[in-house]
Amino acid sequence: MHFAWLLLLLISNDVWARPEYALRIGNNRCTSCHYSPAGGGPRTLEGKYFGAAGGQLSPASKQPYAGADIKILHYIPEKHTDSRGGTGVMAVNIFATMELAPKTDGQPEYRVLAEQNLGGFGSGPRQLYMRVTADQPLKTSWKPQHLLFGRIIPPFGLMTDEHRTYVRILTATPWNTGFDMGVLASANPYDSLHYDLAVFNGQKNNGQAPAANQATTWGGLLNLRWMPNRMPLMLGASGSYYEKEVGKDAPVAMSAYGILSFHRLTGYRFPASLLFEFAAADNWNNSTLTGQMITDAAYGTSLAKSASNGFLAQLNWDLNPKWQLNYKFDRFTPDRDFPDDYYERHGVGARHNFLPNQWVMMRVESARATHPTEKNGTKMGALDAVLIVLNLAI
Amino acid sequence: MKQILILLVLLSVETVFAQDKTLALATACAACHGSNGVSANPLWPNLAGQKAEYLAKQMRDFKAGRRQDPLMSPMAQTVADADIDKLAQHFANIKP
Repeated sequence: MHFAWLLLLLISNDVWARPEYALRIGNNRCTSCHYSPAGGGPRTLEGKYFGAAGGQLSPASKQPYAGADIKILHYIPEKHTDSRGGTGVMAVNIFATMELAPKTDGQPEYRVLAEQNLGGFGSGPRQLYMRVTADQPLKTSWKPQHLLFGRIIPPFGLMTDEHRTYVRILTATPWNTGFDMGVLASANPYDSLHYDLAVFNGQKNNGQAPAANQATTWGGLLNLRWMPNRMPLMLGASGSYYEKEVGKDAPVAMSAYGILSFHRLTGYRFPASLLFEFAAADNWNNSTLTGQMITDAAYGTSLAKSASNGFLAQLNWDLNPKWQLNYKFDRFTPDRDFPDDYYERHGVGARHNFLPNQWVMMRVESARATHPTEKNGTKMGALDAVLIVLNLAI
Repeated sequence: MKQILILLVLLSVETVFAQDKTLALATACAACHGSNGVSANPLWPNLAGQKAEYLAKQMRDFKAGRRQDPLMSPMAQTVADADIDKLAQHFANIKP
């Protein structure tokens, strides 16, 4: 059970967003490849073709109405025990989408998308929304060009294919495993500038069945992404505020992030991307999250309301269309009043695209914890690990 | 870990200086138009064997906004004018 929770909280189980791809081609509109204007999640037909990198799609993939993603994980932590390591199905996510009525000139497009995890960790309903898209969504405008109503993934921080990060923990935004009910508005006021503005209700219960006090819980989120076309750089910032529970301190989080494309900086001679993110949060370190990585339970409980910082840096180097090397560093300071107490992790790995849109990834991670009770800890924050992920997409 | 990082840096330096720039740039096109200039997507055109002048004109039209496409318009902005002709010639030289 602990193993399942750890994976649910720390590892993505959906189509992974790849903003470095968008930067590589200078495209600041996520809907070029994804149905969500905030990026990530189910892909359009063009997104499937783009992800295939020139390869052939299967006949089942060559349609825009449905798709599936299957992820299987083999996880080998240091101090391996039956409850913490092994092989498992992370997700069997399927989605279906269609227009609600034929699109006519001058009128917006109405589309519905439903996504379900049929098995693995966190199985059950995922995103379910209606998307309203302006008649000419490629125009630049401050007015929303896309509106999403329903259960969505909050577009907070750097939406990357690397989700096993401490910034996700401290901001409680475990991308693709957390959902909110509400409205999301997105637009490009300029080709280089994109915004997502969301208002949520019912965040406390992850957008599922209503719970006590739900009507008084709400959250707001703003995400800005700037991608100047003539520079090989993308910069972004997110902020969120949640009245999570009545009478309790409201969780607040911010993120500043960016990507540097060496593809464009070197004319594709060094085809690599450097991703980085700094995040800070107040009142977000809930004990469930910290309990998965902190060995000393008393220490974990004491951090529940602390103000925390996190940093992520990752280099993705495309050796060729088949192979990519990765280096990742991230650091989590659970209480910024005690900056000497932190968790730190280096990871080196490789990804092999053995078929279009199908890949296997392996990574070796070295972890370090500095708090006196954590140095020789037995939970994730102090444990080295080896990960192998098999990703199958239709 | 340090040895691995040093190896990565050395490999990357070797990669940067080893590749021809036009060939390197063409890898950006390959994601949609195929590494051999033949697209897997029926909605995206083949570039192999196409006339260089035509390809260069399309790129310049995308770059100037005379032609619009959600993927190509921003991508054309990232290619320098001098490289457009080289890329066009590269794909024109490929036999489909």
